[in-house]
Amino acid sequence: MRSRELTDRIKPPAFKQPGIIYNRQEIDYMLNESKTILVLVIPDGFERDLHRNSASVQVLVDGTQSSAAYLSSAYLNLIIEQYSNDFRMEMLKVNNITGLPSIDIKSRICFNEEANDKLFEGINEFFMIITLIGMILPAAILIREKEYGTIEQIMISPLSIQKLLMMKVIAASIFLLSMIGLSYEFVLSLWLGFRLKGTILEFLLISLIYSFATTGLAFIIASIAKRLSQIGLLTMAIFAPMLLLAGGWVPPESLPEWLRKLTVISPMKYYMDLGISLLIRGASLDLLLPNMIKLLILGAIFMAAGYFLYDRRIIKGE
Amino acid sequence: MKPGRNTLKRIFAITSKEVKEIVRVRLFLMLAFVVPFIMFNVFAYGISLDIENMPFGYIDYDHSQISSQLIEKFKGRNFDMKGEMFSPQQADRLLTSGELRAVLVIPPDFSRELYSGRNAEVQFLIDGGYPYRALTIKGYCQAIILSFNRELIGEKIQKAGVQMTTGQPIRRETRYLFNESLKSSYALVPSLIAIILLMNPAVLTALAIAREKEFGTIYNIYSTPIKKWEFLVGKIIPYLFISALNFTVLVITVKFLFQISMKGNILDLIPGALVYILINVSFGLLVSSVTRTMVSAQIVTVIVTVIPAFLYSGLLIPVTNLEGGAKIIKDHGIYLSHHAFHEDHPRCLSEKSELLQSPSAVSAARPLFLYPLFSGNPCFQEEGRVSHVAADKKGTSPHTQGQGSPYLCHLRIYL
Repeated sequence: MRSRELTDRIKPPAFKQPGIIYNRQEIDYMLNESKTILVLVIPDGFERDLHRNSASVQVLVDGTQSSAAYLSSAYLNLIIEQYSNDFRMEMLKVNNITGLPSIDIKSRICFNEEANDKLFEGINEFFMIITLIGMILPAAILIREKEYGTIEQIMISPLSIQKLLMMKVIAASIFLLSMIGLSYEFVLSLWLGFRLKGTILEFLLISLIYSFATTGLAFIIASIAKRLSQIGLLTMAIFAPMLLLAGGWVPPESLPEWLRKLTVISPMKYYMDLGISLLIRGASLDLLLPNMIKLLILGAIFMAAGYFLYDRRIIKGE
Repeated sequence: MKPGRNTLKRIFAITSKEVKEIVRVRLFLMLAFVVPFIMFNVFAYGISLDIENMPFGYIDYDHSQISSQLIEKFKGRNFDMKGEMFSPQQADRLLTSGELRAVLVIPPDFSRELYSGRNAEVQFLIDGGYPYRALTIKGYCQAIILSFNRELIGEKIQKAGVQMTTGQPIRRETRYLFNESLKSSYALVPSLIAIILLMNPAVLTALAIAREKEFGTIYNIYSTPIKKWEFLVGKIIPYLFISALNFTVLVITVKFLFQISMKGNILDLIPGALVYILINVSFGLLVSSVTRTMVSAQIVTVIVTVIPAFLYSGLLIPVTNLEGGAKIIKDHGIYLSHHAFHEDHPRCLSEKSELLQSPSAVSAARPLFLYPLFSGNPCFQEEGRVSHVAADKKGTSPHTQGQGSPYLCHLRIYL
């Protein structure tokens, strides 16, 4: 009966309704075939041991899915601990010891009451795509001239090649920003029904600053790559560490010390911070200002470095 | 489609042409091997799912001894105590700007309630910007409060002089199978192989056909007796080979650099890996056949492989949470093939596995693999259109119809 009380506490939304396993072999089967992540083993004589204060249960966790394993075993532990505390309170009441203090917890998850991960995931994917396109599109445009050989033709034309490049890049940015705006309005707000707290203009402002930085990166990519085929690989190579250091998946606080220092140069980190602060937390522009300035400075550095490299290697150096 | 003696020769011809193209650009070759290696190392060293050093603050309206005791509990490895705040507005501002992840609020009657034996209440304000993190933080806070509760009760019992053990009624033994120390890297590192092999083969192959179409060299192919499937097979082979080599390098890295021992049999892993690589290379080929320019082939491949690799693979987000569109991708094979790999890989590395992965990977391979063979058609449909036009207007070069080869369009400056 006591064990039933305990298992009754394991229920949605955190857990699916638990199934019952009847023998040891089936435990191995369920875990090996990944049909379940957790198995709670309550030994024989649980109730008797509870009263003797020597009960124990075993929790078997499938550790191969690290994130799910972590969260779910933490939840289960909490449930067991809560039950254990409640049981003891009950026993103490039975022994006529009342008036025992305990602390109730009221926790409020600000900005996102149900911890709605759809909103977060959608926004995250949105940022990732913005980053990818923001890097690969200008880079592809810049390299395309070289690959088709039309760059020589431009050089002998009266048009200054530097101006031309800038115009191309600005065109790409305008395209990107208008797509961002359209997605914000129609895809995110209308179709997916997200309630985003920032206004579209504020979001476009931070995206504009961000596109500065990604274009700088695109210049760097275009100056390293000699052919269009290398653009994709290089973009991936730069994107992967930038994503990691961006703090969307791994909080920057948890990174090892040497990596934490490197997060300063990941533009995506600032963009994610800004984006989430604006869209989910509803921060106002004055709160966002420090991050925006940092992103602007980073963008300027990348642009300058990228443009210098591209100029030297592609326009002059070849 | 009778494979004759010439078939192998033709396939070999295409393959060697492709190889020459690849080798001509040394950087490409280097990138093809170095990039996965770099990504691998960055992720393996960097990702950890534990929450540490979380910026934390508190508002203490009570300022009693017991509230200070409670606050002490929140200084430790997991929390980076930033200090006391003095107003809800300040707390709100710091939470909104993202400087703090959680705030503990202790009400003014905290100690009074506890001393009179009633239940006191504390409040946690948690930053909901990152939902998973918020849930984990909530769990941590709850655990700390629960253990504090236990101590309080224990003290009270002792004071009351009752003979009762103050230990926990229920002891828990938690065993993390397949990954004894729940070291994040044990689970993550092998699955990283799967993720990298999702992106890399596709991106490498992305230009294989698009390049031919855009430079117009595909017309040369049209004029040869080579058959569609021979052409496609010949195109795939070099990329298969490079990816297989990549796979080997990555497995060696995992084994020797990260010292994660493979508890299963590698001979079980290899067929699954080969099918997986085949699927991804086919996907790159599919994109290459369907798009019209090289730039779009690149962009589409990068985006369509990178996003599912990170988001839908179960690596960073529990996959049981996927629903709707992502579920469709899940069910239709891209995830299946990856799941098969992801599933069998850690199991291979941690347990003896049967050849289970092969059926599921093969069943996933079937739909995806057939696409490029049939989609070979779009790139060959041009042939029909062009010859039709040429027959109509004699003397008109097919190149000036539609988008022509850029070599011949001198004055078109692309934006």
